[in-house]
Amino acid sequence: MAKSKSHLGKVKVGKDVIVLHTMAYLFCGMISALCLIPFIMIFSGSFSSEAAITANGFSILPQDFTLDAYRNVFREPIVIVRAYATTIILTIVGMIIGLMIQTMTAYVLARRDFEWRNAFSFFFYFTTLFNGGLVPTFILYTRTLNLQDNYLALLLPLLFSVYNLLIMKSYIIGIPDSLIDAAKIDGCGELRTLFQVVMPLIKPALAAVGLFIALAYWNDWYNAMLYIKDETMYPLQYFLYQKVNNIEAYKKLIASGAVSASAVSAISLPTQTLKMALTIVVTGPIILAFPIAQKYFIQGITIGAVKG
Amino acid sequence: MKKFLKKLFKYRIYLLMLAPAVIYTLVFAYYPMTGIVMAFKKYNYAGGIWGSPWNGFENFRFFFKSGQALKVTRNTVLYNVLFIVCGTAVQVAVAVFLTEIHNKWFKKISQSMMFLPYFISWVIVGVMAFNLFSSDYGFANRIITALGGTKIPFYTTPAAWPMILLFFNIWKGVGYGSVMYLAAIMGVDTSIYEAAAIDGANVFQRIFRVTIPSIMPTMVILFLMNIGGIFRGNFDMFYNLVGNNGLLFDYTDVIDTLAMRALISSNNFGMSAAIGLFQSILCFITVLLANKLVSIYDKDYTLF
Amino acid sequence: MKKGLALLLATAMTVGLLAGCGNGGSGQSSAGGSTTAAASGGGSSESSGSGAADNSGSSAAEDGAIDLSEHVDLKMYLIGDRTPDFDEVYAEINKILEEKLNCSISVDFLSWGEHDTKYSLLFSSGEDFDLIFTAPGWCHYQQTVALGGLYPLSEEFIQTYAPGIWEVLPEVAWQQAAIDGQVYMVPNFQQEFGQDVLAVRGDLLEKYGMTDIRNWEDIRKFYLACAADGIYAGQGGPWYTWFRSLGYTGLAGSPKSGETVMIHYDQPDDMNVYYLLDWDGFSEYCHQMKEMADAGCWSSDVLNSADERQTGLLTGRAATMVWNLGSCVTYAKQANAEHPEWNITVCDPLAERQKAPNKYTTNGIGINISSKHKERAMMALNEFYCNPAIQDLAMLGIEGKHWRAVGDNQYEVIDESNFGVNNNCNWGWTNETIRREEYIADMTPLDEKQKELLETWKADIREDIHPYENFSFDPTNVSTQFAAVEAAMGSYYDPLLNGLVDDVDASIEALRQAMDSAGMQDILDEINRQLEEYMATLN
Repeated sequence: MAKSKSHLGKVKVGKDVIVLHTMAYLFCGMISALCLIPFIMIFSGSFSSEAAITANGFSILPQDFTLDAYRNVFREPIVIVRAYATTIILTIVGMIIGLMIQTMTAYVLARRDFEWRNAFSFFFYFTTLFNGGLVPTFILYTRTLNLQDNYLALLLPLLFSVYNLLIMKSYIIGIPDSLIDAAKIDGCGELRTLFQVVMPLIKPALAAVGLFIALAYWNDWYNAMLYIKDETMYPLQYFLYQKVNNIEAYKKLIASGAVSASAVSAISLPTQTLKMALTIVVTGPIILAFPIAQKYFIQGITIGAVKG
Repeated sequence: MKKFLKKLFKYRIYLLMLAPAVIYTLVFAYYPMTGIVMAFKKYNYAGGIWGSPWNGFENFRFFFKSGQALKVTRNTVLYNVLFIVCGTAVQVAVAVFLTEIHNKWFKKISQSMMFLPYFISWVIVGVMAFNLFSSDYGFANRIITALGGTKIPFYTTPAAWPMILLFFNIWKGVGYGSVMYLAAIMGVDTSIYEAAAIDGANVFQRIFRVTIPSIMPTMVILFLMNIGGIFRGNFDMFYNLVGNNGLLFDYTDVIDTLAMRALISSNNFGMSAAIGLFQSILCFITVLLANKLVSIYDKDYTLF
Repeated sequence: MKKGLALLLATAMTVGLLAGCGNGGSGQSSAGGSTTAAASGGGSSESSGSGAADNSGSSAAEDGAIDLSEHVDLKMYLIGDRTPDFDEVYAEINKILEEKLNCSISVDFLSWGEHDTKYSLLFSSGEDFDLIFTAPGWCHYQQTVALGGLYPLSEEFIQTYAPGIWEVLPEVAWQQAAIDGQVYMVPNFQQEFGQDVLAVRGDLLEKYGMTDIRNWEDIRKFYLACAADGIYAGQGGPWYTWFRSLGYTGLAGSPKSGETVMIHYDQPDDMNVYYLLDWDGFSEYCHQMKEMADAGCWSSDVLNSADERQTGLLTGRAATMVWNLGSCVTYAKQANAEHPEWNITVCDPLAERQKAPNKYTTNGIGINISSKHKERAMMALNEFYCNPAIQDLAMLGIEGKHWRAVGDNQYEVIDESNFGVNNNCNWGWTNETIRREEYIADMTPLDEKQKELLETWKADIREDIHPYENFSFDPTNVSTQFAAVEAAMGSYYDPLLNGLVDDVDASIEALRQAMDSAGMQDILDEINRQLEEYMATLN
């Protein structure tokens, strides 16, 4: 009797849960599918022959299976391997340094006892609204700092992002003051409070912002285009963009009226399958590394546990 | 002054912690900001940014003279409002739902999948969109005709494009955006949930009373930051999906695509600086207002 | 211009000396050097047997007027991608340059995708380089000159440091390169035919009872026949063919890649310019296009098509492809290999009109205004231009490795993959008098057709050039209106050209209003003013 009652009770409590779960699975499942299908098409496309793709468009399964596109990408395997290494090292170094600076700054800006916090927030935020354009930045890097063909020219531009800073601040601001005050009463300095009390509490935030910084480095080709001439220093994405950007250049060339027939025939266009293979080559590793960060978004943390 | 010095001393540790970011920002953001003067200059190589002759407001005139200024500004703002509202709704929904789902495998895999579109460049998205919507071979039209409907010529139907652009915008940003909210939700003390559960609240009440308020600071900050870009269009997206198809421009032309069309052949530094400054000022005013409104609600949530 | 050669020579030598003295710190100062130049203007033309037979004009440097004692490292920017063997080939070129001019040259590439961004940044940031590829329209020439990035090349300067180039290039080439009367680039010298032709499905031609496409009526007939047959004829309206077939062409430098203002090239004494919207041909064209688009001559999606030009032809979705002769032949061969039954051939829809080659300025080289070695740079360019050994190296690579010689003036490719033919942005100094032509052992019908067309064109070159054809409009004074007009045209222009509007007349009217309020009249006034000035300098 008692058993059935509790069972009944569970069903009663569970109804909302069932509704929610149904919604959650349907919604997330649908969005995941919409995100996955195009990627599968790109994946299959990268293993298809160019002729089949131009004739029939994209499809779920490879058409006329071939490795041609990948042979083209890996024509010089050493170059690709070196580019991978460059990108991976840059991503890791940039992420660690960037995360440190961002967290430290966000921590100060989130301190309610720091009267100047809004002034400094404004100081940072203002730079997202106004910028001087490409020319002065280019001159700064190449002339003033003389960083052409220097890895610093790839590291520095993405090291600090106000966007990430303010997201981080919004996470830190949620930590109760009492916790931090308690730490200070225990004799912790600011840095120790930050590292030993605050950081463990915002692991999900660190993982998220760390991921964003890493993605920014991983996807960056623009700075390489501007500042790197030495081919041995190219990061991975730059290979992709050099090839893909040819299409744009080509369209402009055709549209520009005075067309040089020599130039038209010299420009080599990436095939559709090559574009797709490059997407896979560039995306693969970071998707495989994603679960490392992911576990922090999946498991919550208990402040009580830290507090205790 | 004395008071100031006193505070300086009091905050010395804070200031020291801020120093790297402040120096970085001064060097890499404020110093190049001097380039803004190019908006008022008739730029030449010999004179450079400072030595070139002044040009008054001449560089701004082309935008208003084009007769499209009002239309593209309106389009830019409307699209951004649409993107911010719908984008945030979907991202928050995904984050909340993923938190509620207990099946770890489903959680992990669906989250990874949602991140995939982030890696697909707009160039490829443009090609896929054409595969989807073209009237001859498009997948959408093949389905429509198979179901007995008549073909929709998407590329000559401007009214279809706000929805298409909205779809791709949400699609591309859902993975990235939902991670921000997931991280915020995961930062919530789990004991609060337990307390709510004991109170007998059902899951929906719990979501609206506990989860949503707990990610409010993040939502507001992101909202404000997006407002800060409300007069800027995502050039890559509009250009790769719409291209130079003038038939669609009434619904799809934004400030950035117009500026590109106007300046592509002259490569005028002054004019591109001017259009950027125009956008910056409008964004600045909007964000000041929005920030003020938020500060009335809760000071902790403001940007500055 | 070439009269009074002796006088010029004397001036040249004096100027050369003066330049040496004047540029105290710029690498010309050390006196009494041992090395002197051996300019190659003369030597080059010997092997080709054509061009400048009289070498005396190139001897200024040989007379020891130019001091080459200081070794100089020149730097040149080219457009495109570096090929694997590029450095090896340029090492060979440098051997020659070292010996003759006591200098070497290093090359950096601005790749196709980045030159739009980086070209101007090089000048903005004051980067130290000497030579750069340039061309009006497609490679930043006017823009760079407008901002003061390129060094003005005076006649004396060219004659002194590049006597070989001066010999080869006709006066009209310098005219084409002039902006406001001043030359800033060295154009290449070749008769390149950039005209669009048609690659056409032969089986369909036969099916519709046609043998060739030679004029507008043929195009129209063929396009409509395709539409009736349920196959797309092409990828949009053949606008270019239309105005060329009527004897009109665009005025270089006017908005929308020079298509908003027409000149009557067919009538060299017609000194009018025709504003597109006041020109009857435009309205008629738009009406015809509407009819053809509605009939289904091309897809209603043409404005967005992600397809490349050749896709329609190769996949059998379209019956024609519009492109330049070389590309048409290449893709026609490719399609015929897979579908021999298509029997694709190449037609010239403007067969009834004489052809003029591209402007010489279609490719060229300029000197950076802040180059420290302008004189040596010009001499090196002269060497690229006139020394057959360097011309061959830059165009074909290393003899025996990349190509082998056939006779005196032909080549055959051995290995195209690592250097390529005419593929390394060597176009700026292409010199037809010494350039080798390809030797094709077994000619296909398409090769024959290509050869035949080229020969027909060359045999019947349009000599009577309209004076405006060598003029290029400089929009600096009306840059605001220019930008506004380009932006305002977006909504109507391309749809009209492809017949995709609902009401042609209403759209033309809307386009007219948009352009008027954007300031088209100011641009037209400025064009007329500049043309008057230009004509005054000619007489």
